[in-house]
Amino acid sequence: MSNFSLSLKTDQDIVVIVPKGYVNDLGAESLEHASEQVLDRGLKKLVVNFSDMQYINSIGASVFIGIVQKTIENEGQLCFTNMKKVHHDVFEMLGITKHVKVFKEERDAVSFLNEKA
Amino acid sequence: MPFGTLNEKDFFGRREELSDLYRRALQTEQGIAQSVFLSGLRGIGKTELLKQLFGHLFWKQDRVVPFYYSINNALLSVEDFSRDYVTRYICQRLAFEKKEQAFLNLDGLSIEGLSSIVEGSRAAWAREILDRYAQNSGKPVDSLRVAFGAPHQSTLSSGKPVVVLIDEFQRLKNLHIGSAVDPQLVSLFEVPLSFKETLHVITGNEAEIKEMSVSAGLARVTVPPLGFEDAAQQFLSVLRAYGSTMNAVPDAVVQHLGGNPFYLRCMAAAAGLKQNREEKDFWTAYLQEITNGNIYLYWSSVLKNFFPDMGLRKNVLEITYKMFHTQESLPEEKIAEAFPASGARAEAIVRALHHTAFIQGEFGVFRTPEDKVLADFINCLYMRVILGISPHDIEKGFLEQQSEETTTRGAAFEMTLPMVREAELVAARCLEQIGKNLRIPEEAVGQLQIAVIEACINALEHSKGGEKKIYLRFDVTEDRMEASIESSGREFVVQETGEPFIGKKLADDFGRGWGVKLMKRFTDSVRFEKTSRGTKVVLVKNLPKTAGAYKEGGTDGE
Repeated sequence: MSNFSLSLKTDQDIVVIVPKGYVNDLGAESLEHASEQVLDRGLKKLVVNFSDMQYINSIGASVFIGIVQKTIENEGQLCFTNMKKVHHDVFEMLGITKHVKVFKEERDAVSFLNEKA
Repeated sequence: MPFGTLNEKDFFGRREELSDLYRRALQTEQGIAQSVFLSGLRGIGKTELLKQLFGHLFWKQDRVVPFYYSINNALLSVEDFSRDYVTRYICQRLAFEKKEQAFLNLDGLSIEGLSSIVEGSRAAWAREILDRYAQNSGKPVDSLRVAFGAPHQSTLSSGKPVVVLIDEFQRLKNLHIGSAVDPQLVSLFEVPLSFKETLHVITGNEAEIKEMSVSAGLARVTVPPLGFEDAAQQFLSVLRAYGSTMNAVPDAVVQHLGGNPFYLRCMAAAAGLKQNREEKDFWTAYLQEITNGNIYLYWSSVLKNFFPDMGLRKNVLEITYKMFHTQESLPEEKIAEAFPASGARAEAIVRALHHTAFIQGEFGVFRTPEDKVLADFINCLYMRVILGISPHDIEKGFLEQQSEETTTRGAAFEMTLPMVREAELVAARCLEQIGKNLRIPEEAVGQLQIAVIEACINALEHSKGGEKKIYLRFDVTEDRMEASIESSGREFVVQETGEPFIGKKLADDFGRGWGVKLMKRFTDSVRFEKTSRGTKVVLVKNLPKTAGAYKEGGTDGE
C-alpha cells in the first residue's frame, strides 16, 4: 500500500493540489502528472498545499523543479502553502522557492491568484 | 560436537550466517559451488562458525562431505603440510561415512597407519588418493598439488561432493620447501578454489587473506558483530556457567563489547569468577581484562607477534593511540612517518600494522576499527608504557571516566530494517516517536528525519547482492542526537574523498545527487565509515540547549 495520495480541488480558475503522506519518486511522479494535466487543460493558476505532506525525499523534491519549469513554460503561476519549515528549507536548497510564491495559508494564495488577471 | 565446538545452545546470533553457509554447502551437489571467503573482525567468531557448520554438515545430512582443517604454523613445510592435509581429509571423510567421531581425532596418524585403515575399508577413493600421494613422494610441489586436490579427487571417484572448511588460511603463504619460504606455493590452491563440485570456505586474518591473490575471485560472506540481544544472551550464558544467578547484565557493558563473542566470553568469565553484581564491579573486571586478563594477553600477543622489536612496538602504540583519539583516516605515508624507517621497510611496517587489525582500510588509507575494547587496550598500554602512569592511577582514571559516562548517558534505540521499498519511512517514523518521547524540538527531529531518509535510500541503492538489511541506531543525549545507518554496501564510499559514491546511472537520474547535500545541510556532521558489515553513515544533530530538550522517560503530561 502506497504511503502517498493526492487530491485536487478547483476554485474557479485556480487548481489546488494537496499531496498527502510521503513524497518520494512515485509520489512526485503523480504530482508531476497531475500538474501537467492541469496545465494542458489551459488552467494556469496552481496552488500546492503541503499541509498533509509528512515526508519528502531528494528525488521527490527535485521533481518539483520540473513542475516549476512546466508552469513557467505555460506562463502559469505556482504557489506553495502550508509548508513546514524543514520542507521549505529543502525547496530553498534546491532553488525552487525562487520561482514560486510561498504563502502561509492556502486562502492567502487563492486571494493572491484571484487578484491577478 | 567435534573440534572443541560450542554446544549449539551456547552459540548465539549466527542462525542466518549458518543457514546461508549450510545452503551454499548443499548447493555443491548441483555443481554450482562458488568458494567463499568468510570475513570479519578478530574475535568475531569466524572459527566457531566454521566449526558449527562442520558439525551441522557432519551430523545432519549425508549429501556432501565436510572437511575442516585449521592451518598449523608447526606444519608448514610442504612435506608436513601435504601429509597432514591428506591424512586428515581421509580420516574425516571416513568418520563422516561411518558417523564415527573417533576418526576425527586420529592426531599423529602416519600414512602407513592410515593405509592399513583404508585397506580394511571399502573406500576406493581413499586408496586412490594415497596411491597418488605415494607416486609423488619426494616431489614436494607435486605432493602439495595432490593434497590440495584430494577432496576434489575423491568427488570425482565417488561422485560425492565435498565442502572444505579452512581456518587460518593466511598461514599458507609461509609454506616452505626446506628452509625457504615460498609465498607462491599457495597459488597452487587457485585450481581447487575454482572447482564447482567442491566448495571451499576459507577464513583467517582478513587483512592478510585479502592480500593473497588466491582470494580474489571468492564470494565474500561477512560475519557481523552480534546484535545487542544475542550479545547479552551470550554474556549471561557464560556467567551462568560460572554459577551466577544474574538475569541481566548492564546494557552499557554489553554495548561496550561491540557484539564481539571473544570479548563477551572473556568479560563474562572474568565477571563470573568475581560474582559481580553492580555495574561498577563489571567495569573493574573489564579494566583487569584489558590490562592483565585474557583480552590483554590476546592483543599483546598479536602485537608481539607482528612487532617482536620493543622499539617498534612503542612506535605502534604511539601512532595507534593517536589514531584512536583523533578518529582520523591517515594515508600509509603519514602512518609510516611514525616509524624509524623509509621505503620498502616502512611499507612493510605499515602492512604489518594492518595485519594486527589495529588499523583497517584499503587503497593505502587507514583508520582505526570501531572497537572500543581495542581502543581501551591501546589506551591503557600507552599510558603505562609510554607515559609511565602507574596501574593504580590508570584504574582510578578509568573508573572515574566510566562513572561520569554512567551519569550522563542518554537513550539508545536500535532497529533492523529489511531492504524493502519505503523502509526509510519506518526509520523516519520511529525517529519522530523518539523525538516525542524525549521532548526533542520538532524542528531538529524533522531535519534529522530528512537526513536519515536519504541515508537509508543510499543504503537501499548500494547494497545490491549483500545482506538485505539496514541496521539503525539512534543515540540521544542531552545535547545531541546521533543516527547511524549501516548496511552491506561495498562501493558506497569513494576512498579518495571519503564521500559516497554515486554511480553513473544514479547520477544521471534526475535529482539523485541531492541526497548527500541534504544530509549535510540538515545535520551538524556527516561521517562515512567502512565497517565489518559494509558501510555506515553517522549523522549528528546538535540540540539547542533549552530546557526540556532531552528528558529520558519524560512523557506528555509529566
